[in-house]
Amino acid sequence: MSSQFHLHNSPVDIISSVKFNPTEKYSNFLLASSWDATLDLYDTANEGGRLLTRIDGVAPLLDCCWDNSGRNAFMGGLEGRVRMVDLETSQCSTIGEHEKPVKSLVYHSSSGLVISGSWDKTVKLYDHRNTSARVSTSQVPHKVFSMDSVGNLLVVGMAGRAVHVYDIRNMTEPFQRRESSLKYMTRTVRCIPTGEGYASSSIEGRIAVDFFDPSPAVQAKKYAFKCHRASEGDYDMVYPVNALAFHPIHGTFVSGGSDSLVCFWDYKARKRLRQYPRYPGPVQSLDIDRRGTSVAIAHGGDVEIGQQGTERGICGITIRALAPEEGKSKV
Amino acid sequence: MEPETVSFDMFEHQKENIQPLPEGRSAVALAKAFSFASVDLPRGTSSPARDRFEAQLKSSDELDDPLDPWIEYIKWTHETYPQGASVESGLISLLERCTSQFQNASYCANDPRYLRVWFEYAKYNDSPREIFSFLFQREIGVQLAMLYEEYAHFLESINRKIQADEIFRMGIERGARPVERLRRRYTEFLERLEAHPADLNGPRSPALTLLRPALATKELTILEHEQNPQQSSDSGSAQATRPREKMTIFADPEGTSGIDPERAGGWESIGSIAERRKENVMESRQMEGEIMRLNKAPSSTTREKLSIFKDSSDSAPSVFQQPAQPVFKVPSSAPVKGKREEKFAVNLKAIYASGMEEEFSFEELRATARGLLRRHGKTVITPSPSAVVSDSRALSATPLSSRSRAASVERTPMNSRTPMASQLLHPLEGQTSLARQDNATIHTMPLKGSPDVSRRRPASPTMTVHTRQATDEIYSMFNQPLSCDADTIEHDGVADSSEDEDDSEDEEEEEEDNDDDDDDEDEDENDENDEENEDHEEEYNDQHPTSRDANDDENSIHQRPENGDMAFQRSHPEPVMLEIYRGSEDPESDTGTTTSQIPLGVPATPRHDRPALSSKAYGFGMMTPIVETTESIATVTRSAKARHNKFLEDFEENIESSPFVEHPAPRREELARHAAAGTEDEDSMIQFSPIAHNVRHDETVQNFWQRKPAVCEMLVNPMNEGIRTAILESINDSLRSLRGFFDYDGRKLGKLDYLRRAVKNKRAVEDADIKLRGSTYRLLKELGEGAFAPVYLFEAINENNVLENEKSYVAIKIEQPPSAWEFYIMREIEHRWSVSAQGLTRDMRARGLASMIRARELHTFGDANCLVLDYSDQGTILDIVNQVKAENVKTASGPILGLDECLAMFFTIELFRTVEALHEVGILHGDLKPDNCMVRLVPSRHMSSMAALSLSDSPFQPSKPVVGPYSAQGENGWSTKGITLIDFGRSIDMTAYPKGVQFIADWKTCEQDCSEMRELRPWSYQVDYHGLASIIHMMLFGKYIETTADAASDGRRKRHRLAQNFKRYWQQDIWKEIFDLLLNSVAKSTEHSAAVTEENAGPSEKSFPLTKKLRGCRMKLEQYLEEHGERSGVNLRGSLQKLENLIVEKRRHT
Repeated sequence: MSSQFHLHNSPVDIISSVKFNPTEKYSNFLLASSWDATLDLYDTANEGGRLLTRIDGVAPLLDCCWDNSGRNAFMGGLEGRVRMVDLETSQCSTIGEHEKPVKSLVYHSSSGLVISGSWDKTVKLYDHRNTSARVSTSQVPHKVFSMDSVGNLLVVGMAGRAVHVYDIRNMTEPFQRRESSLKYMTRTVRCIPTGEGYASSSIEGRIAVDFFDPSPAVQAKKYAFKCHRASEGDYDMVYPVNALAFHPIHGTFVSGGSDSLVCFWDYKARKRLRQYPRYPGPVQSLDIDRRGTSVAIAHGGDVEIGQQGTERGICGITIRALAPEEGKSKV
Repeated sequence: MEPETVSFDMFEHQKENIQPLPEGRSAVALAKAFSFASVDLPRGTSSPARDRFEAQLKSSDELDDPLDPWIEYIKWTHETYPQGASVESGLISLLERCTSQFQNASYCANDPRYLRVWFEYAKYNDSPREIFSFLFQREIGVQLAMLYEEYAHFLESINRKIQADEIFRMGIERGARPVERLRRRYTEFLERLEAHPADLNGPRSPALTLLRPALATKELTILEHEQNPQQSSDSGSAQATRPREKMTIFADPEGTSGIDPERAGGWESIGSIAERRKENVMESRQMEGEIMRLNKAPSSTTREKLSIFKDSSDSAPSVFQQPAQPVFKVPSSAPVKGKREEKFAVNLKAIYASGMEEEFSFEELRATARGLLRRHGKTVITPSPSAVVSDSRALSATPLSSRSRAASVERTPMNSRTPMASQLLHPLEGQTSLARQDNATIHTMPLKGSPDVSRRRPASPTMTVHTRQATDEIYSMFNQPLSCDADTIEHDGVADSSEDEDDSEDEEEEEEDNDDDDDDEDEDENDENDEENEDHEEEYNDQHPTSRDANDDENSIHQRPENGDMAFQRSHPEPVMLEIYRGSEDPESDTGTTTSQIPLGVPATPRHDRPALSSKAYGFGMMTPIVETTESIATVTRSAKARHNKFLEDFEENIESSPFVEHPAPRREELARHAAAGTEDEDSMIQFSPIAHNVRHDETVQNFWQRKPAVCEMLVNPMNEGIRTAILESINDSLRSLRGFFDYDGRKLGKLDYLRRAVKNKRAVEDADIKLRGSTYRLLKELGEGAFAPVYLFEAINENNVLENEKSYVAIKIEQPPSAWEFYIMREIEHRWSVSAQGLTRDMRARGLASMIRARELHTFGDANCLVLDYSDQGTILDIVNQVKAENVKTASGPILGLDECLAMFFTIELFRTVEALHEVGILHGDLKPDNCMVRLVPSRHMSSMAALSLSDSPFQPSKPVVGPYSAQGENGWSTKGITLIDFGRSIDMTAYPKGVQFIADWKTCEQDCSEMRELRPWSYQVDYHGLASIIHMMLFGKYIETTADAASDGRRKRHRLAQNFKRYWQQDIWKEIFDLLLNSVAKSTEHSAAVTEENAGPSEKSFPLTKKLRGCRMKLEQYLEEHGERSGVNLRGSLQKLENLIVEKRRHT
């Protein structure tokens, strides 16, 4: 098996998010939401992959996620609704609604709640098994751009460089109110699997690693570093870092930028582990499967690399196999 | 303990103001102290409590325990002034008084309470050590372990551990009580000492000064100041480095000290704090050449900043403290020295487009660029709810390739014409559109069916670039000259004026045309057009007036003016064209046709005598103004007495007597209008321009379809005010002249409040009467909230022309803000139905007219519109269904469903026919639902049914009872039964848009709306199809429609179907077919086009509307009813009768 391959039948439009199935058994199943309003399910076990299901959404999708069982998926997008899809029957049902497009979806595995963040400046929690159950709505000060959760903590990255950390058991008040450690707009936040902190990326070619523990000793460890830059003459061209994904086993993470590159980082050693060859378009979304055997790279975008209407690169999904030791921290 | 518990919250906000006390504080007392009741008294005023204590102090000498009132007083002060010593509390002076009072009293010397007062006093003293020395000197509390502990603790705190050790040992030696505790403390101290050994280089002066009377005080004071300038701080070493100004030594002026130090060995008294600070008090003396030195500026900077209290127990650590309202700031892009300059690969301007307040993520930018999201300028306003919706729900086609999916068809606009994005683009004024073009944001719509294009933005020049080419294209879009089919032209050539109507329709066909030298996109259009009109040889070229002139001269055929000329002329920006068109007019041919049609014809008035109508008349095809004039003159004379509600009947007579029964229909309506116009002119209330509506004269439905679109976008929100205004303006002249249109020039109606109040109080108020054109209407009740405006039932009080003897009722819809749209649509429908239309039989048109509510008049005020409608009191489908359901429950006579199946079929047929007729003339109702469809069963008491009268030479008779089995043709009185559509407020005039236009809805959708609308996809005719489905569903099931979508398998379109199953005994086949058609109209249309024609044009819209298929279903239903309507348990007439009885009964109740 070659180290990487493109998925056949991938969406023709920009792919907003890719997510691997959280279960051991189906860990090679990949969910992809796209701007062409489709939610696709692929089996990535074999070269070229296999399109298993294509769900027609109603408006461009901005995010998707799995539930614990790996049978249901959730999708949200410009339509403003959060829909649950039973991937076995392809049945859709609406479980929540926002006034504005839904930008981010997170499934909180221990409580079984779906969390959606929207540009309408709210974060909502739903119990998809009991749709009549009360939906918890939390107002946040800005548009939600990215969310991730670990343990009982939910990190919400917003416009205005605000980052709120919530305890999912108490969504009335943020557990921590933070300001992004980066100078420009937040693109993605992803939690460190060990639960000690989170990494965030911005449009200015930087990634920050922050820690939850407020004690000065731990806070002293937080840092930000430059990445996804190209030296051009006497200045640096800085590219947005659109995607982050942690390696579930090694605890390192990959980052994907508008420079069409994907890098592996060891946040503990503060070192770059490796960089992959250039992909055909700006990297939109990344995910590493549960067993840490492959990374899915969704590429293709337009505004990410400058003015609208420019070449958007080839939209598609590349699956790259990871060697067992690949991405392992050297520390 | 306190009996009541006090929440910490009560004084939480004050916690930094609470001085800690060694013995703790009472929460109750604190709460009391910080409650509003005990707001600090102004300085100087004494509180009653304080006075009481003072009185007690005075008499304390007589008490057994004179110390007690002092202690009480101090305690009270603590409680009342938790913030500690201050001018208000007077705590220090109190302590001072207390300590000095008893310093010589031996009975107090070893009283722990007294000692505690000393300790507290020491706390406020600059040099506590001095106090302790004083205490030892005066032997106050020397028998108490407390003194030693406290002093040792103090010494330890200032890092004088050796002295502390000394004190401890002294205490133990003296056996101060409780000696055990003192010992324990000493051991603890030793342990601490072991952990942190004393600095052996530290000061070694004895803990207690020897008796050195003369300098004792002085020396100690200086020592204290040097070692520990701030008594509570233990970081003395840091202070030592502070640069110090030269100290001026204070010299005590003679005689100021009242105490003679010699007398008591220097320890006679410790003196008051004020006394010890006497060097701070300036001696008062005369001002004599003194220089008042200002504080030097640096002194303020060296001063330490006021440290802000920080809550140490707060969960949020200070690192995360954010300002309460985080202000977004973008760091300046100026390069920082020593760092490499950074350039952003992304467009920061777009991200921070609305200034610094808001960021726009890439997704938002993309959605905006794709037209999926609208950005509301810079301001984050709180727009009206609908605007909010539009903001969040704005949608449009997803540009997307249809590589693997037929499903994408409906998402992608068909027409490849580059649409102008600016919604308000006014096609009528070339200059305006050009000007707007500059800042128009452009949706680039990919060409259909080519995956490549949908992937990348087209590189070909679109409207984005303001090039000359683009400009030319704009011109060409609006100035497209018309060309005729060669056929037609030839036909024309031979056609003489006695040709029948159908022929004239053909002649009048106009066609959008393009210049050959236009760019590719125009070519595409041409292609499309060519399909319809294969022969496409004769072209005007209005870019080149001269060549056009030449054309005209050469080609005599063109001397007969075409219908569309006026339209183009109007939209042409250059007045030159006027000349040209004038040149092309041949008055003789005009008179030729018209005189033959109208016998009343008077010799033609020369065209140029008329006011500048030509440039104004837009989009309504050709007119023969001369004839019109004569007509209106004639009709005025004839119907001078006709009132506006009557003239149609008048005309009916007139027309029947006319020999031109063959095709009077188009005329009749026109005549009617002129009659009205004439009447109005007499009344001189309204300025009518008879010319204006002449424009419509020769128009046929064909013309309507061929009319130049008023809006040139392919994807619009039909409810957009700008769009509507543009359409209305395109017929501006005729709007004013529409029958029953009254404009009060912005005068206010001003009744709205009265109306509302009257409705609320449920009784008519005289103030709520509305006077409209001589008729007074009295409010009876509110009929309902329309989509945009409430509808009230009024009784006409003194209407001049009451048709019947009964009371005359009207429904008046108050539209606020005023909009003439609904009225325009209704008049337009009437008009189009009254003229002949291809594919519509006269019967259909007549029955169509009977199946919609009649608009009588529209009164336009500055604040609102009054749309006067016929009142139909028979109930909507929704009412009927509810009644039937209630009846079924009451009598348990049937399943609790909707209507009987045969009734549902009957109404379905009526609905289908009406909608077919509407679509055929290019009108979408847009808001079909069970509550916008009334039944028309019982002969109405109030309906004037003018339209029916005006057109029916068919078997249609308004009040004939049903006398026989069902007839699809309306025989046996069946034509009197049917439906009445109301509420055209959301209707869409398809002819105002280019072909293949699609719409987007910005309003809140619900299950009742069609799937496209709910799913934010563009729609057109689907809205009515779904509306039909929802009505039929309501009739059948007695429930609102619910649909489910079959999941789309790969590459296939979703299929919608009903969530409910049909009853076993229903005609499932027919119903299934109907719902399948109505719910999946787009799929149906594409199936059709794929199967039937494989033309090179855009596939989907070609077969839209699905009128033929609709008709097929209707025929099936008709056939079924005709065959089975009165057979095998089905009793249509019986069911109908039952329903009528219900209605009549209900009417009686109300």
